[in-house]
Amino acid sequence: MKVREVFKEVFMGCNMTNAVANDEKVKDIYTLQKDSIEYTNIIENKLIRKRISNDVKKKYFMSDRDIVVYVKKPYKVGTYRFNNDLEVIIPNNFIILRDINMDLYSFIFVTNYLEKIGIDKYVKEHGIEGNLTIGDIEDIDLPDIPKEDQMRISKLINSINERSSIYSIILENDNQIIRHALKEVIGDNSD
Amino acid sequence: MINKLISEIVNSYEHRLLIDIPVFNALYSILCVKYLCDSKILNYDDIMQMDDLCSLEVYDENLKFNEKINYKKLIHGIQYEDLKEMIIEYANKNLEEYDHVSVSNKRKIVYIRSGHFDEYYYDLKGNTTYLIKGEHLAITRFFLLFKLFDKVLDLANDYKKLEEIDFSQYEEIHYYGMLGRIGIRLSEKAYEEINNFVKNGLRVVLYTFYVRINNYKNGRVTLDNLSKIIFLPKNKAIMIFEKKENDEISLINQIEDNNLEKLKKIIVLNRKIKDVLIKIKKQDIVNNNYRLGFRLYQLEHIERNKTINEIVDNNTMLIERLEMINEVVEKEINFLINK
Repeated sequence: MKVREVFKEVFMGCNMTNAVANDEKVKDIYTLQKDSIEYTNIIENKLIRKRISNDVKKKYFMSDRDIVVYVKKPYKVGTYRFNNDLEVIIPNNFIILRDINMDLYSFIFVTNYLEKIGIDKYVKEHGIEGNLTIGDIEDIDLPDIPKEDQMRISKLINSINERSSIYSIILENDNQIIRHALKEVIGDNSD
Repeated sequence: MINKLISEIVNSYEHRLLIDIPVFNALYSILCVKYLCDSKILNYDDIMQMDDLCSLEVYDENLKFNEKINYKKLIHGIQYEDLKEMIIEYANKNLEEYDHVSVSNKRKIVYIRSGHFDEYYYDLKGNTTYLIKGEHLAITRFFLLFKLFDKVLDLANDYKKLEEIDFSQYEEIHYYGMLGRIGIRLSEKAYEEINNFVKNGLRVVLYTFYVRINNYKNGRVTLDNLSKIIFLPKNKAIMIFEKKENDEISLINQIEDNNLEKLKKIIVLNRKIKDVLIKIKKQDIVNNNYRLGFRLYQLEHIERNKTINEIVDNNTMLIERLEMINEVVEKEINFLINK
C-alpha cells in the first residue's frame, strides 16, 4: 500500500515568521530542527525555542502518533512520544504523516521502515537528489505484511533505537567533560 | 567629626587612598582607643606619653597601628567628642539605607561578599544579622568596626556564619557583591548564591557596580527573579531579586530622568528567551542613551551553564538505563532467532 492510503493526512509543516525584538505580538514556541531527531526519536532537549509573530493553525502543533519526515538530506524520520504537555510546532522543512490506519499498520513499524528502507529505496528508484515533496512521501510503498508480523519486532526496534539515542547522548556528554577538563587545565575562562 | 577624622587618616598616606583596608584599620584602632579611654580602662594622658602605641595590643588583639599615621594627634583631636554621636553621624552619612529598597520590618541579613565597597549598611536599630564568610581582610575590618559600634550603642546586631543561619527567620538579605569581572568562578558562585537565597524565599537586595555588571553572564535564571534596578551615583546599582508571578520590573534612576521605559521593555521582552541574556556594555554607558545600555546576546557555549557534575550524573544514569535495554534486546533477539 502507498503511504497516502495508510494515513488520513500528509501535509507540510508551518511557515513561521521570526519576530523582531520590539514586536508586540511576539510569542515563544518550541519547534523542531534536523538534529531534534535521533534514531527515530524526537529528543525533547534538542527542540529549539523560537520567537514568532504569526498565528499558527492548530494542525501544525505536533500530536501523539505523528510521524515527521525531514525533507532535506540527510532525510530523517521521527516520532513524538513526550510525556508532558509541551506544545511543539512543526516547521515547513518537515512533512507530517497523521492518523495512521491502525488496523493495517503498526506505527513503530512504519516509522522504522521509512527511516531504514522506504525513503532510501524510493529516492534511489526515482533518482531524487534534492528535497522530498509531499508527492514523493505519499508515493512510497509500504510492505503488505500482516500487522501481527509487524508487531513482532516493534519491541526490539524500540529498544535498539533508544539504545542508539543513549549512545549519542553519552558521546556528547563525554565530549563536554573532555572540553571542560581541558579548559580547567589551560585556565580558559572564555565565553 | 567622624568624616573629618576619616579624611585626616586618608591624608596621612603619601598616596591618597579612597576608603581602603588601612583606613578602616586605622579608624577601628582610633575609635577603639577612644572607647577604652572613655570607659576609663585607659588614660588619655598615658596614651599621649607612650612612645609606641603597639603595646596597646594587650587590650584588644585586633588593635593595629600603622607607622605612617600620627595616632596620638588624631586621638587627641577627638578626645572631647561624643563617641555615640560620632558613630550615629557615620551611620547616617556613610551607611544610609536607600529609598525603595527594604520592604520588610523583620530582622534582615547583610552579606558582605565583596570588600570593594566604600560603604556598607550599618543598622542603627540593631535589627541585622551580618553574614561572615571567608577571611577577606576588608570585610573582617568592617565587622570589627561594626561590633565596636554595637558595643558603644548597646545594639543587638548579630554576626553569624552561613551555616548557622536559619533562613525561615528572615525575609530579606542585603548582598554586597560583584557579578563578573573579578573572575568567572566567583561570578558563578555569586549567581548561584543569589538564586539559592531566592529559592529559600528571601528577597535579595544586591549592591553592585554597573561598570562591573558588563560581564553579566549566566543571568537567565537570576534575571527571571529580577524585579527592580535602582541606579545610584558613582556607578553603583542596587538590583532586587525576588520570587514573583509576573514579569514586571521597576527601574528607578536616582541620577537623572532618562528613558527607562525603553530599557524596561527590553528586559521584559527578552527575559523569556532561552539562553538570551542581557548584557550591559561599557560603551553604552559612555554613549549614555539611557544611562545604562543593554544588548542582547546569545551564549555560544551553552554547555558551560551545565555543571560538570550534572553531566557526569547524567551519563551514570544513562549507562544504568543501557543495561536494562541490553537485557531487553538480547531477549528479543533470542526470541526472533528461536522462532
